[in-house]
Amino acid sequence: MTKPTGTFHDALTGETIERELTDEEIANLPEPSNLPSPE
Amino acid sequence: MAIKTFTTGEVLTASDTNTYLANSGLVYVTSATIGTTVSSVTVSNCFSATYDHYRIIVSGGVASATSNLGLQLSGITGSVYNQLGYYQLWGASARSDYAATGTTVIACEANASAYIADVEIKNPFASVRKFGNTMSQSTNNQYSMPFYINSTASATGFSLTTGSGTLTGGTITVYGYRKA
Repeated sequence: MTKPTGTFHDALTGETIERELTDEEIANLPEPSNLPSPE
Repeated sequence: MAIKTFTTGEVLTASDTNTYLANSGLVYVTSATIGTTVSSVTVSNCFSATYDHYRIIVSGGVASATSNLGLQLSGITGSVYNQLGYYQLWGASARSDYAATGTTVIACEANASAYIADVEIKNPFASVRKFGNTMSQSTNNQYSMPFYINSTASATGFSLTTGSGTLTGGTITVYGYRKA
């Protein structure tokens, strides 16, 4: 199964990378359940 | 720093330049281009003791599905994000109220047309509770939602996560408010 990807930017180095999220990052993704459904 | 009005022929010294030109009110901190079909965007090391308060502008991209982008500060993951306010459809006379506590605050709605967020946040780096406001516009509606993060932990960055679908393109720019 393909893992979700994310953009990661470090303001100190100015580097921006795009990579797959790690299992830990996936597990720690914020729950969006508190967000209302957009109209 | 007070405003200085220069006169014709006056010598512009290095000191004046540094003081009155470089020391602007809203100072650029960093900017990043959002990738292709990403589920989240993480900006690290953008908050520091240099500034107390920040503005985050997100614009220019499109989403694969309509959802809200949740903003979470780095290292503050609990259900401590309190937000309330309203959203209103364009052309509608009635506004819909919103109030929630969760693990993010709504930064903006993302949809196939755009995602636009304007986030003000006070003291993300300082060891005090954080307050702020998100304002956003989409092709569907507009939001105005103050928030309060009930945590005194220091955060050096933040993430944006989609409720569903992915993001492609656009930029995130972070500015700091100069203290003096």
